[in-house]
Amino acid sequence: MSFTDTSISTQVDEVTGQDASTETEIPAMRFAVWGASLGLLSLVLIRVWQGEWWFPVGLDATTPEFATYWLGLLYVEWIVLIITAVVGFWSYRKPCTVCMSTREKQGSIDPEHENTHIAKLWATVSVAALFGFGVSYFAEQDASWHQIVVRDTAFTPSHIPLFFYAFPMLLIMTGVSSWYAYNRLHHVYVGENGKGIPISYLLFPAGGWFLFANVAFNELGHSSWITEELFVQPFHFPFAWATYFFFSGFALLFKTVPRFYDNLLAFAESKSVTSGV
Amino acid sequence: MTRHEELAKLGSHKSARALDIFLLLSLVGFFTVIPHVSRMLYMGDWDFWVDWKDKLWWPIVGPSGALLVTVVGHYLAWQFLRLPLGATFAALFGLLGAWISRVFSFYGLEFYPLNFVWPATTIPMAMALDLILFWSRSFLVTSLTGGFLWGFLFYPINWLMLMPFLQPVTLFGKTFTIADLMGYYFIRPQTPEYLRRIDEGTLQAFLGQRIWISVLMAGIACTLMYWVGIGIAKLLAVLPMRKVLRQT
Repeated sequence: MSFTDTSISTQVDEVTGQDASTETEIPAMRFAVWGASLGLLSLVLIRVWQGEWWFPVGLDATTPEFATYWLGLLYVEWIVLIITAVVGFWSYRKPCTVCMSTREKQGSIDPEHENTHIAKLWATVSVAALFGFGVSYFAEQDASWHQIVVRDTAFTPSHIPLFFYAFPMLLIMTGVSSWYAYNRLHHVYVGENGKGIPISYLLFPAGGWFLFANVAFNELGHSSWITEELFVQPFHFPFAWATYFFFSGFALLFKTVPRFYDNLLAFAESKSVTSGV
Repeated sequence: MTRHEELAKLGSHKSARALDIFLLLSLVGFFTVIPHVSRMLYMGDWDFWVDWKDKLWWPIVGPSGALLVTVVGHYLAWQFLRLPLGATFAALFGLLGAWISRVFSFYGLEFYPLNFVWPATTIPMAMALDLILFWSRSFLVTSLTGGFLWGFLFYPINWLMLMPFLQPVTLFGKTFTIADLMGYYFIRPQTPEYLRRIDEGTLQAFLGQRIWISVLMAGIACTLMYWVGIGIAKLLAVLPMRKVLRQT
């Protein structure tokens, strides 16, 4: 058995989005490029903003300048978060129409088409990973900030990007990844006619949720016990435990990637059979 | 053409290449956030400040905290991909996350000098861990030897970077290490608290032997921590592959 380059180039176009005639959603590569670019731009802009206004108007939360510059940033972040969440979950709220029609006709999804969904799933995960990188950066930045300023508000210049942008954005993007996978690749775990929610689809956004939820516990702890500011405080540990949930991404990896290659092989074989090679 | 050759050829196709890019970005992102957050919360202040890099707690807390999630990458890469690179990958990107933070936050925003806030490295021990697993092909052997070496070698390897800051200096009639002197000039909220804590304890009485007691304890702790890491990998990465929440 062999396969031709022509068969592969057709597959490439499907995945990278150059031939999106049968696809109604944004192709994987375009999603990844736009998502990662906009995400990275937002993180860089926040860091530039911090560099400008960190010391000049960030030290005293009771001043009007603080409200203008820092709470202003907070409100912009919330708008971005709401837009991202609404667009992300709304876009993938229904199962793929192409999948539904091929399943009706053939009893299963076209392997070539399924690969576009697997690629798209990993494009969404890669954008989520970018915000994971943002969490990593802003979390330690928060440690450095609290070494020089004793907190007088939960909305410090280091908390605003971390707790109220990077954490919820990571939750939203991991949630969108799982939502996409649930509506497009449900059968990978449960079979064509199976029911149920794959645990890895739940655990993956659970990491983002626990990170965000632990903000409440963290702020309660800081307001109740004067712990300024030992970063290895035991009540900080749940942040680390929350990140462990992202290891469930490996459960996605080891299920979807072998499936991707099986599909690629099946597609190549079907091409070679129909072309008589 | 064998199936292996077919798969190898498929792997070089552009569709697979596109998937590779997404996977790589995902792995880099999550292998930065998970080890780095663990590192900053378990090693935390011991890793942030050169004057916290003492001979009592840092050699124990540092490697134990860093090993926990490094082992997850180490286990999964070997168990599912037969790649002896998982620990090195996790250690590399955890350290990269730490360095980016030190340069752009500690130095870039708060103006702490970089030689006051450099992070400890775990890359050599991670390479040793992966190599031992590659040679032995046994998690048990790796935990007993590689896990122990991870803890035992942490201080000696990082001592190369720490050594210049342990030189004595006399100021106003008092003798300090250079690290302590830097700490007095860069006041932080927790400094006096920590100095009070570290000056207690009977390990001070062991004088020059103290560091060997600490690194021995670190080796033992890391041998055990290796299995905690494997437990996390099995619970959160392997088990969910098979589990489906049934809808009623």
